[in-house]
Order: sequence, then C-alpha cells, then structure tokens
Amino acid sequence: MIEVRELHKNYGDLHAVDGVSFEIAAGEAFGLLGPNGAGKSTTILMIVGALAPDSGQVMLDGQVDPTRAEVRRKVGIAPQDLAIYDELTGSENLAFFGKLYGMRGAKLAERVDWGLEFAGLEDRRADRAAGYSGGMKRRLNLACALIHAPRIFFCDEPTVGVDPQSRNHIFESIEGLKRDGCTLIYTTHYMEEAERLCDRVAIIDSGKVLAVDTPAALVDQHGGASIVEAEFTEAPPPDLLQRGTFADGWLKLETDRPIEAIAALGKGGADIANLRIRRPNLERVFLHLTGRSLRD
Amino acid sequence: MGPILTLALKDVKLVVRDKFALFWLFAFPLIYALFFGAIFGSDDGDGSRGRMGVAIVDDDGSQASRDLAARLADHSALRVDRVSEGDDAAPLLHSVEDARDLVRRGKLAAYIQILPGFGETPWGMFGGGGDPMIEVGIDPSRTAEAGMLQGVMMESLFGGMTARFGDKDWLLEQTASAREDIAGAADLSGVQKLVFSNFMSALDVFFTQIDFDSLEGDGPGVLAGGADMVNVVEVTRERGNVPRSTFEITFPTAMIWGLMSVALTFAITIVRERTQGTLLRLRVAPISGAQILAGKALGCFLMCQVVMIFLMAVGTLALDIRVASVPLLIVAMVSIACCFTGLMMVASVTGKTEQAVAGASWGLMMPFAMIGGGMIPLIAMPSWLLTLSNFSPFKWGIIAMEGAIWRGFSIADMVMPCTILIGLGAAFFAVGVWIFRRGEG
Repeated sequence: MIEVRELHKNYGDLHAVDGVSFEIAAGEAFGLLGPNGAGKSTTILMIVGALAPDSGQVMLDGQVDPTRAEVRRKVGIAPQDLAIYDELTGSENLAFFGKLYGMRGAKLAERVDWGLEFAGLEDRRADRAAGYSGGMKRRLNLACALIHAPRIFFCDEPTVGVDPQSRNHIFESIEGLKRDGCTLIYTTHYMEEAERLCDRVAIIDSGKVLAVDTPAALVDQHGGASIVEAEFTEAPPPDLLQRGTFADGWLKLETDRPIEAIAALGKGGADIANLRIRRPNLERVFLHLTGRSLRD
Repeated sequence: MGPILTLALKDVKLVVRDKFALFWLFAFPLIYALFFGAIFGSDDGDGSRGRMGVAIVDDDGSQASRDLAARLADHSALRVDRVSEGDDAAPLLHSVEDARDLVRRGKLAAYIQILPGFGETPWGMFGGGGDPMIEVGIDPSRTAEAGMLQGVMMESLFGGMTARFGDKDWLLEQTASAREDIAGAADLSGVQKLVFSNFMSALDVFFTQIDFDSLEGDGPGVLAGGADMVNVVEVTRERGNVPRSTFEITFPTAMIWGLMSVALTFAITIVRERTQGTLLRLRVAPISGAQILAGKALGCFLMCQVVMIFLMAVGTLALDIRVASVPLLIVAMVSIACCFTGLMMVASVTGKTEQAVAGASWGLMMPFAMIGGGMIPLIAMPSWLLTLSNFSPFKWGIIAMEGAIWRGFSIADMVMPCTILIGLGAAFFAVGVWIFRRGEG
C-alpha cells in the first residue's frame, strides 16, 4: 500500500530525513517511533505530498505522485497541530472538510453525524470549537481527517496534550479503524502507544530508520534481558548479592529467565518484602539503539 | 468552482464571527465617514457653512444704519448673529471692542462698524469728499475675504440707495426740504431761486406722477439693485459635478479604509492557516494549490463587496448620498475589490507569523493611504502630492468610487482608474502567489 524508498530532506546542514525506507502493507498499522525532532513528521509530509523530498521516492497505492486527486481521496491526515477552525462549530468543521472531498447533501450529513459520534461531540455539535477542551479538539482533529473515510490514515502524535480519558477514546477510535481495515501510519514518541496500536514499528532518530519490525521482535532483538528487582526485610545473604547489584535495599538481577531467578531468590533464605519484574520494552530498544531515552 | 466557493464562504464566515475584525471592517469605516463628514460638513444646522462670519457695530443708531445692518445680516454671503432664533430677527449688534476681540481670536472673519453720522450723509460714501462712514476690521492676511466683504458692502449700500429712491414720500420730503433751503439761501439771486424752485416743483410733479411699482421687478431699471447686473453661475471642476455633501467625499475614503482592513484580515487568515495546521490539511485535500489561493481571493473579494455595499447602503439610506451611475458604481466596486484582493495576497507573504504580517501589512498599506487620499482628501491635496498619489491604489479606488457617485464619470472616464486598479490587483496577486509558492515549496 505504501512504499518509501531512500527519502532525503535537508534544511541547510540539517539532515531532517536521511535515507528513510520502509514498506507498509494494506490494513497494517505502522508506527514511527522516535523523539521530538527525529524526522517523523517530515517523513509523513513527504509521503502525503505536502513537502517535496530532495531525493527518494514514495508510492501510495501504486501511484508515484501523491498529489494526484485520486490518491488524495484515499488519504487522510491528522496533523500534530490542531488543524481545525476555532470559530466554526464541530459540525461546521466536519462539513467544511467533507465538502472539500466532494461530499454533498445526505452523504455529507451522514458523515458529519459519524464524525461527531467518532469524536464524542454529538452534544456539542453546535458549539464553536474555541469552547472545546483540548481533548475534544484533538478528537475533532481526528474526525476531520477521517470525514471522507480514507483507506490510508496518517496520524501524527494524536495524543499530545490530552487527558487520559480522551487518550483512551482516541486509542479505541484508532483500534476501530484498524478493525475496519484502514492502513494506519502512526507517529509517536510514546512507546506504550506504539506497542498497543502498531503491528510494526520503525525506530527513527536523527532522520534515520534504525530498525523496523513488530514490537515483540524489536524487543527480542534489541531490548536486552528482563530485570528482576527484590526488596528484602533484612540484608540478603552474600551469595544472592553476588548475582546482581544491591542499592537502597533493592537487589537488581538481569536475566532472560525471570521466573527461575525469582525462585532462586526465594530459596536464598531471606525474606522478600517486595518484588518487581521489568520486561524489556521499546523504550529499552530505543535506549539500546541510540544510547538515549525516547524522552531526551 | 465548488471547492473555491466552499473555501471562500468558510473564510467569510470566519471573518464575520471575529468581533475584532468586524469592528475594523464595518464600524471603523462608518465612524470615519460620519466623523469627518460631520466635521467638514458642519454648518451648525443653519446652512451657514461657507459663509463669512462678521460682527456688526452700529455706532450711528439711525434708521439708515439699522437698515444697512439688516441688509448685511440678510446677505447670503455673510453669517451674522441675530438677537434671537430665526432669519427675521434683528442682527445682534456688538460694541467695537467686543467685535475686534472676536476677530482677533478668530471667532469671526471681520467686523463692520457703522460710524456716527452715517444716517445724516447717506451718499457721502460715494466719494463725496467727506470722511468714510463705515469701518471694516479684518485680518490683513485674509485678502480674498476683504475684497469680497467690500463687494458685499457696496451691494448693501446700493441696495439702500435703491430703497430710498424708490420711496415717493421720502423723495417729496427731500424736494420740500430743498425748496425751503433755496428760499432761505442768501447767496442766490431771485432769478436763481425761481429757477431752482421751479425745478423742484417739476420734480414734485415727476415723483407724484411716476408709478414706482412699475419700476420693481426684473430688468435693468434705474432703481434696480446693482447685484442684478451681475449673474453668478456655478462653475465647478470635474465636469460640473460636485459632491452634494461632505459624506460623498468621506464615504468613498472610508470604504477604502474598510477594504484595507479586509485585505489585512484575509492576509492574516492565510498565515493563520499555516500556523495552526489547517493549510496542511487543505494541501493534502484533493484540491490544487491554485484552488486554495483562489478560494482565499474569492473570500476577500466577496468581503470587499459586503463592506462596500454596507457603507453605500448606510450612505444612501441615511445620509442622502446619491449615486450618479449604478452600473459604473458596480464596475468601480468590482475593480476596487480586485485591487485589494491582490494587495491581500502580497500582504499575506510579508511575514511568517500573524503578528509579522499584521505589522508589515500596515507598513505596506499606510504609505498608500497617506499619499492616496486616505488621510487627506484628494480635493484638498497640493499638486505635488496629487502627482505622487498616482502611485497609490487608494487614489484610483477613491476616484473610481467618486466617479460613480458624484463626479459624473462617463464609461470612458471610468476606464483609466478601473484599468489601473485591476492591473495593480493582478500584479500584486501574481507577486503574492509567486512568493507564497516559493515559501511552501
């Protein structure tokens, strides 16, 4: 459905996108995971034809020119900014963008109602967007991008600055799109979102794709061992201390077999007050690949 | 056309819902037109605008001086305060000190002092060798007004003479008085007294038999007023058409201010689309960049029309502005809107943020307003500024509007300002689009 080959975009000496390549199958949810400034949004802008690459090629649904009208009708984008009109009501925003995609009459009214329901704004349909909360605006932003029922949906950091309730609403909405077979390209710097929503994830930093695979495979390949942490009621025996590092009353063990490690701790003769297991995740993957945290 | 109209109507709706923008688009131009129209058109409600204010000092107090004061007060070129409301009221008489003070402080243009003895020597004024019986006090710098006042004085004095020589009783009194003087004259011989007495008797017969009523009315009769010998015709610039009121001058200017606000508002909406991300959404919609810009242009054009129609409606319905040619007015409105739409496009690329565009746009448009008649009416400009104003679209916009409203332009007259406006609009738009596309590339 989407094929990206060696995309490059420079701003002076800054290599915003530096040879990015990947492929996305129809109906797949693909995540671009990286910190702010990694080049995720620039990559998306080039894929949808809003920004001309310095070099490289993009194919959307078999078309090499993403600016063609028939290609654009298949594409929806929810920008990171709240790309709605504050002085228009929720339904007016939806109707305006629907009209740009050629919808009229009953079809438009039907899609506007769908959009309001999608955004959870049925009761606020006649209110101007200026009076909406941040979460409401974020949901309306998504609905406006989906008003024409695109087959390919670009979703750029959709949960920035929203409350947990709206975040959950957004997750459920996007999961619904996945179920409906929409091809999803999702950029985020929250690894939890990528793990929850994406079938495959590209780790991107400084304009380069560092790894592409399923979240589980990435964790397996680059996440390292699990970490078992145990707090004891008294000082643990010396043989336990030799297995890991001890600080502030906690013993930390790195292991590929955490269950066996816990069993061994239990047999060590000391009383355990607290026990934690930290599985490797995409955050650890990013740390392993770049030496930096996602939130740095 | 569908997406373009959709974009345009969306922008119009956004502007209409912005109270701040509405003030600058509608309220400010209206306030401007009404304020300056009222100031420049002020005549205190009595039609006295354009008349010369004078104070009258009557130090003679005779019937002749009172008559002269009344004639001066009734003169159409003078504005004289009266003792009470109404044109029939007697003129308010001042002391010479008060009158001189009023002139010195600029409250009045001049004062006319009728000196003692004026009534005793009614013709002494005409070079009889005696002292002047009337004194006029006026600022020496007001040369033109002084000349005009002298003319008004002469007209009023001749008017007095005309009245006297049309009064049969007064004439018979004069001949009787002369006859007594002849009879008592010691330096006349008997024959001379007889000749003069017979002449006075003949005059009595003449005055008694003449029909004075037939001497009144039109025509250059011997007793007719001197003013009738001069016919004053109004010759005005611009093909004999003049504004009927100052509002016909201030409203076109106010419209241009309103359109400047429209251009500025729409220029800011383009930048706002970019900064809030909606431009990206428009650019990935199945519409071309040209359609997006055309939508902006159409929105600006429509809003220009709304502002002009609103102001014209207020002007015509409430202030009696009369449009000389509705078709030409429509042509002017379309041309002006084209020009300001182009100006909007250039203004939109003068900065990357709303603040930058707002500041730069004022910087771009204010010089046009200053030299183009936005601050000083074109009819009040010195010649050098009028020449400079040719470079301002404001001037051509105002001329086109005035041409359709009161200058009485023909189609041929309208071609030049409208061609310039449309040409400037096209050029501005092309430059703006070129810069915009470079920035988006």
